[in-house]
Amino acid sequence: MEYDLTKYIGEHLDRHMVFPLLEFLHAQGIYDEQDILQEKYQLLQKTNMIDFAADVYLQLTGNDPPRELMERRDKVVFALKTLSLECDRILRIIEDAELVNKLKEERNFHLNFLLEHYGVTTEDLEALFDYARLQYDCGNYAATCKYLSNYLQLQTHSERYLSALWGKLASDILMQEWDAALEDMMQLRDAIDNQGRFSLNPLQQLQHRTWLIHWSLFVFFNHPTGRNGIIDLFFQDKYLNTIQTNCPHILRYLSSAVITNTKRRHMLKELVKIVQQESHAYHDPITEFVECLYVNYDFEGAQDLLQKCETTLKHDFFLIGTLDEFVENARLFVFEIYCRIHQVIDLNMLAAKLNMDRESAERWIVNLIRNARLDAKVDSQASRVIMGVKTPSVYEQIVDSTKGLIIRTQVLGQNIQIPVDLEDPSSTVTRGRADRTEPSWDKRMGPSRRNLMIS
Amino acid sequence: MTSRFFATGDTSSSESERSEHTEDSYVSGDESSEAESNDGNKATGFEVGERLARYLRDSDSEEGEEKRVVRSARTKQQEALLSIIQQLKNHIKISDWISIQSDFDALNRQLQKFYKVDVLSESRKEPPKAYISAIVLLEDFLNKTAENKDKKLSKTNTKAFNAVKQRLKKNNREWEEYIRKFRESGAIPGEDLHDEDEGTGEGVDEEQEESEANESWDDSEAESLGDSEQAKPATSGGSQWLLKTSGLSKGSQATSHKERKKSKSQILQQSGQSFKETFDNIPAIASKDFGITEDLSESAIDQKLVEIIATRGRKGTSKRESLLQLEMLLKVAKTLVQEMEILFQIVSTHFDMTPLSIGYMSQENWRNCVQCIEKILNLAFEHETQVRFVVNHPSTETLDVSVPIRGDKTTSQIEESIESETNGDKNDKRKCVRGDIATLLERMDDDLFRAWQGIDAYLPEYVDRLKDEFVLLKLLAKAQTYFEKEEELDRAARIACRRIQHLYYKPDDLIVGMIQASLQKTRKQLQVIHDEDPVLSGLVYLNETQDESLLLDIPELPIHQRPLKGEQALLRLAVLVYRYGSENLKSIVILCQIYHHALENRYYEARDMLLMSHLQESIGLLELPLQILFNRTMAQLGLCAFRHGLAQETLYCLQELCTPVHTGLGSSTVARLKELLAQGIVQQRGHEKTLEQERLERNYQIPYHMYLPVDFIEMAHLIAAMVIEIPSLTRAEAKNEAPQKRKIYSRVFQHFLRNSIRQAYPSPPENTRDYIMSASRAFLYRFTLEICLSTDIASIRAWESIDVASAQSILQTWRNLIQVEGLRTFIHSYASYFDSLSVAFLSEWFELSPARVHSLISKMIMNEELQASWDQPSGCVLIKRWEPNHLQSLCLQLTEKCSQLIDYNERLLDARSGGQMLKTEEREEFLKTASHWMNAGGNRKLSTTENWVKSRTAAS
Repeated sequence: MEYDLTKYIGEHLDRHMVFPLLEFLHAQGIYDEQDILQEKYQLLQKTNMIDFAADVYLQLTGNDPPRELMERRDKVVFALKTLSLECDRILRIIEDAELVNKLKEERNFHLNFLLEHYGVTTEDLEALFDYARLQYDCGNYAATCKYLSNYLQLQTHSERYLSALWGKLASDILMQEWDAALEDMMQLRDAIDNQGRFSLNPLQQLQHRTWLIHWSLFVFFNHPTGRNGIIDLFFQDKYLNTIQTNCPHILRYLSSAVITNTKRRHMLKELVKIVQQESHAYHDPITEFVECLYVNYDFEGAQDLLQKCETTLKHDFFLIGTLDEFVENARLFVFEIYCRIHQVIDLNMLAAKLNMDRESAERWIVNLIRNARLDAKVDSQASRVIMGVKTPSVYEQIVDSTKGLIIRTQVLGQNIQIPVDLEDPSSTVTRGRADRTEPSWDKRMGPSRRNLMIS
Repeated sequence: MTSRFFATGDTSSSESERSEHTEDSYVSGDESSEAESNDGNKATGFEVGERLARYLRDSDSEEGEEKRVVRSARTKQQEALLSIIQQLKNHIKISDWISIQSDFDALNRQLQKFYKVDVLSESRKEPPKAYISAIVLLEDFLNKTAENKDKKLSKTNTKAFNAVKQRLKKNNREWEEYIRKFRESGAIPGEDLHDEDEGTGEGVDEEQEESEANESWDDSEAESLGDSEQAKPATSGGSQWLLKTSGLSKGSQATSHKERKKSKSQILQQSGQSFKETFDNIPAIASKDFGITEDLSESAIDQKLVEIIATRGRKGTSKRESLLQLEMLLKVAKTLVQEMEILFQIVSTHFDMTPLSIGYMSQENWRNCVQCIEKILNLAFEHETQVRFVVNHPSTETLDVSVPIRGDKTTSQIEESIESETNGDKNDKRKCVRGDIATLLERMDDDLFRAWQGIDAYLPEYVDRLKDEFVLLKLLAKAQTYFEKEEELDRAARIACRRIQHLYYKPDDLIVGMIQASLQKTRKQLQVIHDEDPVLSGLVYLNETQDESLLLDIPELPIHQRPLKGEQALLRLAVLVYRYGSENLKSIVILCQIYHHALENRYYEARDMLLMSHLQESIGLLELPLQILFNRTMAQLGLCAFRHGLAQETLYCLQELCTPVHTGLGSSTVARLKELLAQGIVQQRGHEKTLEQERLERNYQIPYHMYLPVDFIEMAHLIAAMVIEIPSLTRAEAKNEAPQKRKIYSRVFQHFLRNSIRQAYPSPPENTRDYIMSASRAFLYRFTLEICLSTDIASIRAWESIDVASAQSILQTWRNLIQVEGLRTFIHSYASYFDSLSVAFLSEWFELSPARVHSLISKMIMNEELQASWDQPSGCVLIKRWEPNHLQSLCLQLTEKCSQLIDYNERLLDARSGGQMLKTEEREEFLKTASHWMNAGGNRKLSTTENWVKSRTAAS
C-alpha cells in the first residue's frame, strides 16, 4: 500500500498503541494476514500480555504456545505480586475510594499528611509507579490509569512525573477515555514547553513533541472537539517546526483536518504554505490535492486526486471516520474556487464532473450559491451558470483607504504628548493626571464630536 | 678539519665540514687517520689557535705552509679556465668562429699562467683535464664543420675557421698523449670536467656547487656519499687513492678557508661544550661518517640525535647535511623509539629545507616525508602495544641544547609514571615517542595545498602533484584509523576534517572510484603479503572492522567488496568531527557537507543543513578561509538550485556573490566573483592593493582543480534574475505602481537592463551579460521565445563548462520556466489591450499545454494580478476593464493625498521621537531597504537568507 503511514507513525507510538493500528490493518486486509499476525506476535512478546500473545500464537501457527512464554507468565505474575506487596500501604488507601474522597475534601491528600497518618513513604510511592507500569505492560490499563493519577497527585516533583504523565495519557487513550486523554495531553504539552520544570534539552523537547503529536492523533480524531484542537495545536510554531523537521507525514492529518473543518477556513492559507514548502519532503494524495487546488489551480488534476484521496483515507486508521466529510468538503472547495474565477460555466459539464445528472447538479449548485453566498445565477434555458461580475466600486475603495485614517490620527495625537512629557519632567505629575482624565473626556465627547463631523 | 675534533657531530661548521667528510670518507679505515683522530683527541684541550695550526699541519703534512697561497691562486685560475671553456662552448654552439678563435687564445694564455704557477710548486707535467677536454671538444667540432662543407659560413667566419684549424693542429701535437688518454677514458668532451678529477677539478667542483641551489646539493652529496662507500672496501690498496685524496683535501681546504674563518667564532662558542660531550662518549668518536657506525650504542645514538636537533635553525647549518646524518642514524638505530624519533626528525628537517621564497617542498622531498610518516605509522601499528605518541611533554617543550631533548631520563620518568598508573602491569607499559602525527600530517596537507597554489595549473607538474593527493589521503585514512584505535578522538577528528576537505568538492562517482581503486590495490597487496598490516587499505573508513583479526580475514570482508557511496563516506567522517572536533572544524565540515549535497543535486538537504547551521549569521566574523569556503558553498548551492530550475532560490544564493562593489559598468561581476571565491587575484580599477594585502590574498587562493565555473555562476544568476525581474517589472508597470514601491529582486540585473535598454542600437552580444540582456529584450518586447532561448541563452559560452547532456536538461527546465514567465509578462503588459484572450492562442504562442495556460491564468486571477474571469464554454478569458470617471479619479487622488499626509505626519513624529513610534512593520520595511543598501556595498553576509530563515525556522 503506497500511502500507508502505519510504519512511520508506529515509530513514535507506544507498543500498546500500535495494536489498534495493526487490528485495523488486519481488518482492512490490504496486507497478508500471516504477516500481520507475525508482526503482532513479535510485538506482544516484548510486552507482558502473555495470554494475548498465546492467543495470537495459536492463530498464527495453530500450535500451543511455546514453553518459555508460559514460564514468563509465571514470572510476571510473581513480579506483580511482589510489587503489590511493596506498595501495599498506599494501595490500601487508594483502593478505598471513600477515604480518598474524604482526604481530598479535607485537602489532606498529599504526601506529608499520608506520611504522618498512614506511614506512606516516598519509596512506597515510587513502588506504586513501578506497579502501575507493570500493570500497563500487562494490559491492565484501568488500574494503571487509577494508580498513576494518584501518583501524579501525590508526587509532583519527581523526575518520573513526566513518565507518569505519558503513562496516564497512554492508558487513557487505550481505554478510549477521550476527555481525560485530552486533559492529559494539555498537561503534557505544558510540561514539555515549560522548560524550567523538567530540564529538557532542545533535542529532547523535539522528541517529546514528536511523540505528543503522534499520540494526540488518537485523541483528536476521536474527541468531538478534536478537529479544532488539532488545528490549534499543530499550527503553533513549535509544533509546526517539529512536524517539518521530524515527521512531515503528519501534514496529511493536518490537511484533512483543515479541509474537513469548515470553521477554520482561514488556516487554509497557512496550510498551503507549509504543504508547498514541504512538498519535497513529503507528499501524498491529500497534500497534493491541496497543492493542486491552491497553488496550481488545476481543477482537472484536483478531481483526479480526489479519487486517490478517497482510497488513501479508506486505509487510514485515523481518517477513515472523516472520509465522507472530507470528500464532500473537498468537492465544495474545488467548485467554490472554480466559480470564483469563472464568469460562465456550462451546467452539463459541471454535472459530468460532479457525477450527477443535470437536475441534481443544478440543485447542488443552487445550494452552493446559497451557502457560499456567491453572486451567481443559473440560466436554465442555456443550461449555464452565470457569475455576477464584480466591478470594483470606487465608493468602496475610498471608504477602505480612508478607514484607517481616523485611528492613525488619534494615535498620532496621543503620541505627540509623550515626547512633551519627556522634555519637561517637572510637569509629569500634573500632566499625568491630565492624561488620566483626558481619555474619559474623550470618550464622553467622542460620539458627539463624531456626530458633529458627520453633520 | 675543525669538525673532526667534534666527531660526535657538531655540524654547525657545515661548509668546512662538507669538504672534510669527503676526506674523512676517503681515509677511513686507514691507520693514519686514526692517528690523526687520536691527535685530535689530545688537541681538544688545547688553545684554539694552536688547534688551528695543528689542524693545518695535520691535513697537508707533506707540504709547506706557504703553499696554501699557491693553491688559492690555482683555484682562481681554474675558475678562469672554466669560464673560458664555458664561453667557448657557447660559441661553438652558434659556430661563431671569430669568438672561438679569441677563446682559444685566451685558453692558451690561461694554460701558460697555470704552468707558471705550477712550476713554482712542483713540476707537474699534466695539464688540467679541463683544458684537454676543451681542446678535444674544439677539435671534434672543427672536424665536423670541415665535413659539412656545404653548410656555408660567412667570409670572416671562414677566415677565422681556417686560422683556428691551423693553430689547433699545431697546438694539439703538443698534447697528443693526453688527448689520446682523454679519448680513451670515454669522457664527453666539454662536459664532465669535474668528476673524478684530481685536486684541481674537485676544487672547482666544490666551488661551483656551493653557488648552486639546494637541489643540486642533493646530487653532489649523494655522489660523495657513494664515493665514500666505495672507498671503504678499497682501502687496502689505497695508497694511490690516498695521494689523490690528500690533493683533494688541499683544494677544498683552500676554498673553504673563508667560510671557516666566518664560522670560527661559532665554533669557538660551541667547541667547549661539545668537547665535554665528546669526552662523555669516547667510543662514539672512533666512528667515522659523522661518527656514525653500526656499533654505536643506544645512548650514543640518542646523543647524536640531540646534537643534530640542536643545530637546527642555526646559521650556517646545512640542512642537507643533517638530513644525511639522520638517514645514517636511522640505519643504525637500535630501538623502536629511536627509529621513530629519527624519522620524525627527518620529516621536520625536510620541512626546514623548504625555501621560504617558494613556500612548499619539492615533490621528491614531499614524497620522502610521506614515506617517513608512513613508516612511523606502520611501526606504530605493528608495535602498538609498545609505543605511543606523546606531545609536548613538559620537560621537552623547550628546544634548548643544554637540555637533552629526549634523554633517557625523561623517558624513564614517563615509563615510571605509567608503571605506577598501571600498577606494574607490564603489558601496558608503553614507551613514549615524542611527536604529533596529526600535526605533521596537517602540515603535509598544507604543504601540498601550497604546492597546488604555487604551481601553474597548466604544467604537467601540477598533474603530478595532484596525484600526490591520493597518497596523502591513504596516509590520512591510516592515521585516522590509528587515532581511533588509540581513542585519541580529537586528533582523529582533525584528520577526518582534512580528509573531508579533500573529498567534498568531488562528485560521488569520483570518490567511489577512488575508493575502489585503492581497494583493488590493497587487495593485490594483501594477496602478495598476507601478514602485512592490512590497515593499509587506505581510503575506506574502517568503522566496525577495526579489529585486526577481522581485517586479516580479507576474503570475508564485506566492507571491502561493497562499493561505499561517497556520500556515506563523507557522512561518517563528518559525524566523527561533529562529535569530537572543535567548533572551527565543525563549521568547516558542515560547509563541506552542504557543498557536497549541493554538488550532488540534493538541494533541499543542502538548504536545510545551511539553515540549521546558522552559519550565515556569523560568517562575517569567522576567519578568511572559512568565509571563502562559505562563499564557495553558497555558489554551489546556487548552481544546484539553478539545475533544479528554482529561480528564486538561485537568486538568493548567488545575488550577494554576483553583486559588484560599485555597480558601475566598468566593474565586472566576474571579477567580484573571482575575488569572493578566491579564484585568482583581480586588480580592480581605482583600488590599489598593498603588497601585504596581495600576499594575503595569494595565500588563500583555491587550487585550480577546485575552481568553480565563474562564467557559469554569472550566467545562472543573470538568467534567474531575468526570470524573476521581468515579470515583476511589467506587473508593476501594468499596475501603475510607483517605482520606489516595487520590490526589487536583483539590483544588478536592473542596472544592466536599464543600460541595455538605453542603447538605441544594441550591438551583437559578446559576453554572457550581453547575451542575457539581448534575451531579456526579446523577452520584454517581442515575446519570441525562440529568439530568446535558442539564439541567446543557449549560445552562451558558459554552457560549455558542463557536459552536454546536463546542459540540455537544464536548458529544458529553464525553457519551461521562461515560457511560463513569458506568458505572465505578456498578460501583464498587454492584457489591457484585449477584451478576451483564448487559451488556444496563448498555448500556441507560448508553447504551453492548454491546461497549463488555464492554471497559470487562474492563478493570476486568484492572486488579483489580473482583473478577469473565465468563460468556460468558449475557453476564453474575459478581461474586465474599468475606467473611473473624472470625479471618481479625483476622489481617489484625494484619498491618496490624505493618507500621504498622515504618512508624513507619522514620519515627522518619528523623527522627533527618535524612531520610537514607528509601527513595527514599517520599521522592518525601512530596515530591510536600509540593509539592502548596506549589503550592496559588498558585505559578505547574505542577508537574503534571512528571509528564508524567517519563513522556515529550523527547529531548535
